[in-house]
Amino acid sequence: MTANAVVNGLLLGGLYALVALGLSIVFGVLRLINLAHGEILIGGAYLAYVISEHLGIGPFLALPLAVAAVAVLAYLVQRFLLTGLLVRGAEGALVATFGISMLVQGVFSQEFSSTPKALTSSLSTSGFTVAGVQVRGIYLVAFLVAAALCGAAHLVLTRTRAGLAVRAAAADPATAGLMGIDIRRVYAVTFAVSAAVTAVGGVLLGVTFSFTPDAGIPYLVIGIAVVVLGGVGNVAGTFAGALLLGLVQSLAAAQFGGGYRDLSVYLLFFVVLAVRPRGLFVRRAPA
Amino acid sequence: MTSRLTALLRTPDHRWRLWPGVAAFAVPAAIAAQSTSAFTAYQLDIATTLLAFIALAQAWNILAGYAGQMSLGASAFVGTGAYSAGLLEVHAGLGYGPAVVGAVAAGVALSALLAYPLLRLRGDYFAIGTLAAALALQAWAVNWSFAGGSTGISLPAAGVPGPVEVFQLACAVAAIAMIAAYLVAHSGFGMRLKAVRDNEPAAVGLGVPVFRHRLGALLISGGLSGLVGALLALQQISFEPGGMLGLGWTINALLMTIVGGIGTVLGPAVGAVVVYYLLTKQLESYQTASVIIEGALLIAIVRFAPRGLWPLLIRGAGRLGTLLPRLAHPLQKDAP
Repeated sequence: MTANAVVNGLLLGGLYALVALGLSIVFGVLRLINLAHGEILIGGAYLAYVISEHLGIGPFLALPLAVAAVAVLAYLVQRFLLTGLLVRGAEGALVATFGISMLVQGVFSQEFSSTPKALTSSLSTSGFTVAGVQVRGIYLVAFLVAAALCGAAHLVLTRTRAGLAVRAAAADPATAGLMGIDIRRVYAVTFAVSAAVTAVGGVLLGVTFSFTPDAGIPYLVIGIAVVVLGGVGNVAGTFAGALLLGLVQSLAAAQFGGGYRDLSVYLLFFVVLAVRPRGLFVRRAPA
Repeated sequence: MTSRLTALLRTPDHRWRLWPGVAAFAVPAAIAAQSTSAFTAYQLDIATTLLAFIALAQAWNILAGYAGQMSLGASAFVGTGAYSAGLLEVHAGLGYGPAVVGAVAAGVALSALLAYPLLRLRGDYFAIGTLAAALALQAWAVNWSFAGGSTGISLPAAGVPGPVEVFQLACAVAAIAMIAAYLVAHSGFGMRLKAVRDNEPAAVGLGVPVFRHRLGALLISGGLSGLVGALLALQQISFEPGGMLGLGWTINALLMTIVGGIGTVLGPAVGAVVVYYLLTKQLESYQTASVIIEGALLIAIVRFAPRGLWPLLIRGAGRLGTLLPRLAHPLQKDAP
């Protein structure tokens, strides 16, 4: 039973890495906690749901369309609303994302009612058993996608010119702007790409679990917990933190019962905030 | 002209005196609390809810507006207050008086508990930490059979005052909150708090103990929110974690304060009237529409009037005040 909890916890952690990656990048580069992050996630799932209903295709074929739509919307929101607010200070933008969260949740309830929806795929029910450990197929897919996306994000941020521009904008926006980097564009593109990654996570989440209009908020907190564990803007740390969180949650649920699944996340979050507020995997305090 | 009009209200060094503000809140509250026979039970209930929201928004305003600590955990404090009052009545057999006092103490205690992990960190961690605290308390209450689990608590009949008494308590709670905001806004403590909010390094340089001031604001806000929680518990009589520890309180406190005017004394009250009475209440049968409108309103306020409606009104009135005399005497327009 423990082996089961460990393996499934780690795989669930892969899903949490997808939930947290976009949040971590936006927090690291824009210095903004995006309170509408959960709604972007659930929005990806709802869009995939609508597309697969209308076109009669499976959720994985609907995924690219849903992700593209979320990215375009996110680009526009960042370019025409959030960047202008960020210039004035972090608080206005934080409150604006809270407003977006409310607005989008309202639209979800209006369109889809509060009955849980799910993306149906053969993967969500299929599974296999390795050495006595039962694994759902979608968990494994989500884990592999998460590992690939985290690896890709790490490579883009560290090995490309675009990644260099993003890191420069994160470290010192004013100086980066003087060096000819268009900060507004970097912010908008970063936000859009993060939203796209988040939407991928949302679609996989929708295949794994059912979702409701207000399902985003708990995932926002899971994402924040992962970011706090892994260190802000640290892609490798995010992946490691997500695995740790999935593991803790799974073990807590196996040990104390399902009611403690969420409570364990919040407790871990507080302990880390109190003891190591810069994250578990940071050796030196960044300047 | 203006200085002569307000001379009585100011000290010799032109600071606002305290008593007119206190009177401005206390007199209407006292009148309202005495004239309960003029209202029906339904109107009393609406008025009680509105007053509770005014007090809650004000508690949030003291923390977010004056101390600059954006909290997303208002529901944690409200729920803690309500559950403390409820548990004291159900399990300790206390009357509602001691239960209300216990609720305030519980709100203060929760603030003190959260201060250590959260107050030392950057502002946005505080926001998200308080959100996690609120969700954690909700998850705990659902699993805690002593507090009724997911079905919640029903107060014993002996511990529930009538609607008139609850309304009078609401008047007192709202008055306490307004006076607390007024004191914070105009005291030395409030001045230093605003200095920390606006320029922390400068405040530190002038010798302001930052942590102690933020802690003070958090304790005041937590105690007030706990008080509001006890009031809501007495009003609702039976409650469960989904409602009493739900994010609705946080959303409303934030929305009302920012719409009305964050960091002003009267703004949260204006915002509570606008959001609760003009929006939520009127759109009661279209709940999703009201959430959409409120979200859009919040974005619009942050984007176009970040100081809120009340300062906007004041400024508009001030402009009108300078414009009208000019229109009456067009020749003096260019006079210095």
